[in-house]
Amino acid sequence: MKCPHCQRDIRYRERSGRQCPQCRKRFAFEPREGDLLSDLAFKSLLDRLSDQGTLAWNTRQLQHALRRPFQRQQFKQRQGLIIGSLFGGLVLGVIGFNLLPSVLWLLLMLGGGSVTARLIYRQFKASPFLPLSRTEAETLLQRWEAVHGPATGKLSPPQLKPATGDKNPLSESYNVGQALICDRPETVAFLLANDFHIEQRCAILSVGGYPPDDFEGLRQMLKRNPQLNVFVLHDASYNGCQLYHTLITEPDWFKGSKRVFDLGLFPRHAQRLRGHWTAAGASYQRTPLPGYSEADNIWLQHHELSLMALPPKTLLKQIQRLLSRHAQQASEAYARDDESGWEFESEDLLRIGEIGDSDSDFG
Amino acid sequence: MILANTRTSPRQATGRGLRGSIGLPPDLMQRWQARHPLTDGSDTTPELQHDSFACWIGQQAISTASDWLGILKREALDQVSGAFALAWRPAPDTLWLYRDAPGERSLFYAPVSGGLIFSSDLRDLIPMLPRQLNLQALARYLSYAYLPGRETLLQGVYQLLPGEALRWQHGQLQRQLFWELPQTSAQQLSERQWRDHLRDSLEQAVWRRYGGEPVHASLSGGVDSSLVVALLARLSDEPVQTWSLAFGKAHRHELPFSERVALHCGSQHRVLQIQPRDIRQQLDTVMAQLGNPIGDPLTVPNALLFAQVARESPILFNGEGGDPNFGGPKNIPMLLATLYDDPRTRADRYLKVYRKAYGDLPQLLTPAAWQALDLAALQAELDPFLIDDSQLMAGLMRLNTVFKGAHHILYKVNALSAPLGLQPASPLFDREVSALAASMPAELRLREATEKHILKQAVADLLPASILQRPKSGMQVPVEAWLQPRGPLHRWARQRILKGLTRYPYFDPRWLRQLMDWELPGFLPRHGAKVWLLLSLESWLRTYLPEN
Repeated sequence: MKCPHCQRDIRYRERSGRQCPQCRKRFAFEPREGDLLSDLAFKSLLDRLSDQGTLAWNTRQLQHALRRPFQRQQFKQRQGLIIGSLFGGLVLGVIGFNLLPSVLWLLLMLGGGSVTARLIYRQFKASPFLPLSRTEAETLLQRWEAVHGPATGKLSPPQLKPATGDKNPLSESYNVGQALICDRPETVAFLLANDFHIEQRCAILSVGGYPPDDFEGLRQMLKRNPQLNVFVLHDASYNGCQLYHTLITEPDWFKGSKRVFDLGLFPRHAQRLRGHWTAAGASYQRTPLPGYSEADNIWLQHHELSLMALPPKTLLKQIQRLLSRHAQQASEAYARDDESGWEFESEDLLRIGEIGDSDSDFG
Repeated sequence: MILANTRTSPRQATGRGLRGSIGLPPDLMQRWQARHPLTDGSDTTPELQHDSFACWIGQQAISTASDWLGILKREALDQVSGAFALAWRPAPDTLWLYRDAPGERSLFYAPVSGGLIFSSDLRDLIPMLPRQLNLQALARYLSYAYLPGRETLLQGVYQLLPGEALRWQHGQLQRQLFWELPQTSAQQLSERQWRDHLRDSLEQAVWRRYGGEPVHASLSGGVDSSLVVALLARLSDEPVQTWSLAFGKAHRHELPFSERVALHCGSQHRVLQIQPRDIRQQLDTVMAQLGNPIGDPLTVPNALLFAQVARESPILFNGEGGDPNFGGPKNIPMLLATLYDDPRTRADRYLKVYRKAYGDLPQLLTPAAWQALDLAALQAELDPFLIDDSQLMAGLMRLNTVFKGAHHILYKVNALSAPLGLQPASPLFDREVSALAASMPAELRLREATEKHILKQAVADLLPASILQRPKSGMQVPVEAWLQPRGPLHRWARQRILKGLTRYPYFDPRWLRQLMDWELPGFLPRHGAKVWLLLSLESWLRTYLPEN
């Protein structure tokens, strides 16, 4: 393993006490003692997450980014067991062949082989669920930060304080042309911290009232603009998928507006993001959501898929691309005098295949 | 295409560029006279040099030297509208230099050995000077893609500010502003009254620049150029000759809109197609014309259009000025940053929102250059415009007019058209129009999310509703597509940036390589715009600082 500070190659026996014998500096992790990653590998993961320190990210995104190393470690741990079972089966087979009648031996071999094959299949078939908790990810990060200092770009959890009621007079006179409404405060906090609102000239709010400073002022500002394009951004979850319907039916939001566009995520994106699912919180049966198929509704009863499963840069680029494409299509439709050009099928607006073709996009 | 001087100046224009010196020691005087024999020396320098276009005082046109001398002696320059640069020598030991209020003309000067040399063209001055790059100005260029303020990229060389008078007397320099953009007026006028005032001002501004038929105008299809064409169409008996730029069918363009306006106004419309090879061939010629570099991708296409028009007309109208004066697209991002209580300083925010290379300076510059840079001074220049919370939007619009208007847009069109003998006519930057815009409440200019609200109201009877209400798209040169790896200009740009710029000790070669490999971090790295910014700079340095 290389020392994360002086880059010297250090053998395991030289690094007792997690300290480099050359520079005397400490390191946080020891993969030989069960840690998920080395310090350098963890740093590399944080660099990818923050795109070389230029992007803000949250610990839920770290949790998803750690999925692959976590599964790799699990696989390595099980590898020995599988190889041992195969070898043991082979030895017993040879011994049994000499001692048992051939019919009985054949039956035992078939039975044993079938059980072993099923065991191996289970080990190799990755679970669709995220294999580590957010707390586990945060613990790893805390250990790393204790040695290396604060990680660049890490976001604190959004402060869900009560609305201050302070009004900014600017929101009473001016307005914007587009808004992103999200289901979770942490999505809003992530987008704001990365200046997405400034880059894309759009207001960003969560349906539950984040950010709390002048939330009502911002919402009223948006409601005043009849030409406002509203983009809905949410997890593939029961509550997230309900958001679009809430926004177009609630008088507090944009009831009756035809310029509300649902960007996703949707249950149909789940297969591409297997390994990032989490279990749905509710244990009771929920009313099926309108506009979703029976299969989608069944999936939503039991599962959730967070937007934070997408790496920060991928998520930002994808939303930016969709908003730009919408603006361009609207402009072209306007030039053609095509009034229907403003209408977009939600299916057009988040093709998971376009998010990233390589698995590396998904951490 | 060849950039050549094809036509003489129009009737209401006088001169094209001025230059001179005062108080030089004999050896320098000899050098200067050897280069500029007609306009130099105490015996040969005329009392007044003037370079002007469409200048008026009240209802009277100004065209002769005696007109100008009368105005100077009456100290009535603050009442003059139009484009002008003046050099007045009322006594052998005194020189006054003046630049018009909006900044339609430009004038460089440099104090040298107790004397002063000045010229409309920076190339006249540089043989007389030890040339050294001004690092602070370099950071300004990289942050804005133009140079706001007095300093140029060369140390010790300055530019007159718009509306500024500079006096040299016995080796001492004294500067004063004879005109400034007014603050928001306390006058309680109704929207209708503001609108009617504006309509009058627009008609006057176009009429004052109108030089007879046939009249030529740029027409992008946006509101600004369209309204200028519509006003010209009412003045002219013959069809207006209108021009658009396009960059190939594969790239976004505004031709459906410009054609719609041309049809509406009955103009004869032509489209100038710009190819990547035009950019490659003309970049150095164009950048050499700019004493202050401009990193705007439209610079070469503008120059090519001017060259084309100059073969047919001495004047080209444009719609420049609508965005900065009337609440164009730079304001909404700052509004959002303020609404979300962005913790950064306003100036820092503004420079980031400007989307050039301000955010890249720590990596783009070498550690030594970065250490030597006074970033706080760069931000402090913006404070007077942004400090007042209650006037934030008015301050922003004022900033856009004073900075971008004078130092980018007007400077660019003047510098590119001067060698062609072409007069750029920018009625939306007319002194009265700019002053009226600055006087009216900001909410009339940016009404809710509608940019240029009052401007659209003022010309609502002249243009189709589909033009007035169209979504903003802007003229976009496809720099991203042309400059990206495998793009038609990539190899050329890569060689010029990696070999050309690394000769100077300011740029980090690793960052430049990362840029040219299209590998800058961030979710919107804007490689194309940054490559163009640096390509323009490299080309400018070839002319103005070649020996480094």
